[in-house]
Amino acid sequence: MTLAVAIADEVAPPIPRDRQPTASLVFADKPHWLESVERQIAELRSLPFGWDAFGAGPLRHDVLWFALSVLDAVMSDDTPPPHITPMSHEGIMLEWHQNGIDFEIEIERPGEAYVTYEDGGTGAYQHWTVRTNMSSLAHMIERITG
Amino acid sequence: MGAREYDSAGRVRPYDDDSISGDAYLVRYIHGRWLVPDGAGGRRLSKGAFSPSSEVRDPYRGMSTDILDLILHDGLSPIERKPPGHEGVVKLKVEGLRNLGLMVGYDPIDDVNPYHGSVWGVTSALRRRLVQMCEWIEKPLDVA
Repeated sequence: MTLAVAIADEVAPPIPRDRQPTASLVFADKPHWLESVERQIAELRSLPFGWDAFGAGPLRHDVLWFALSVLDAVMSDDTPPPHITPMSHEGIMLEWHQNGIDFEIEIERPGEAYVTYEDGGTGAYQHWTVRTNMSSLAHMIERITG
Repeated sequence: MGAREYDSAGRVRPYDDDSISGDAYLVRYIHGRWLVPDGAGGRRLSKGAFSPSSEVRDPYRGMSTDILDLILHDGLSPIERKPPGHEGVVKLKVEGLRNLGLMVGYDPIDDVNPYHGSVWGVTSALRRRLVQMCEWIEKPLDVA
C-alpha cells in the first residue's frame, strides 16, 4: 500500500546558520540517546571538504541545530538513537531501522524535514513534509520505541 | 535529448546526453556513513547515499557520479578509484534513471575528474527508487 500525505504547517523560526550545535544548550536533562547523537555529530563535523568523493562541503551547522530541536521535540528517554547519515547536499538524514520499520527524517535546510515511514510487515509506505508541527513524527517514534 | 551546454559561470546546464546509452552505467562510491544498521545485526544502504549537491555547490542540483564506461576505457577500475572512507561501490543503469524522468549528462570537472557525470532531477521521493535499482560492484560483507 502506498499513501502519500502532505502536511503544510507554519514556518519555523530562524536558526543561527553559523552557530555550532551544542547539545547542552538544547537539552536541560540528557536523555539516554543523546550520547550517541553527540558522538555522531562530532564525527560528522569532522568530515573534510569533498568527503562524498564528489566535492560536498561540510555539513551545515544550522541543519544540525534543527535536527537537535526535532529530536528534542519527538524523542522520549527510551527511544533508540537514530543513525545520522550525512548527505551530499550538506544536510543529514536521521534513520531508524528496527522492529520491521524503516523511519527516516531528511533535513536539507532548517525549518523543514522530509519524512518517510515504511512498515515491512504490512507494506505500508508513507512520506510527507513537516515544518514546525512535529506531532506526526512523535506518533511514528512511538512505534519504533515500542 | 541534447548536447552539452555551459552557462556563463562555466557550469554544465542540465541536459540528457545523446551519446550516453541507456545500457550504460553510472558509479556512486559508498561512504561508510551511508551504510546504516539494519536492525538485524548487519548494515544496509541508506537512501541518503543518493543526494544531489547543495544549491551553493551546484545551482542545477546535479547528483555526482562517474561514468563507468569512461573509467573502464582508460583501463581503470571503479573499485580502485574508491576514495578513503568509502566501503563500497554501486552502479545505476542509465535507462532506469531516464525511466524515472531524470536527465543524465557528461559533466567533466577540469583537472579533477574527467569521468564525472551528473544526474539531474533527483528528489527526496526518488531516493527510495535509486536504492532499489542500484547494483553493487563492490559490497561489504555485512551488507544485506
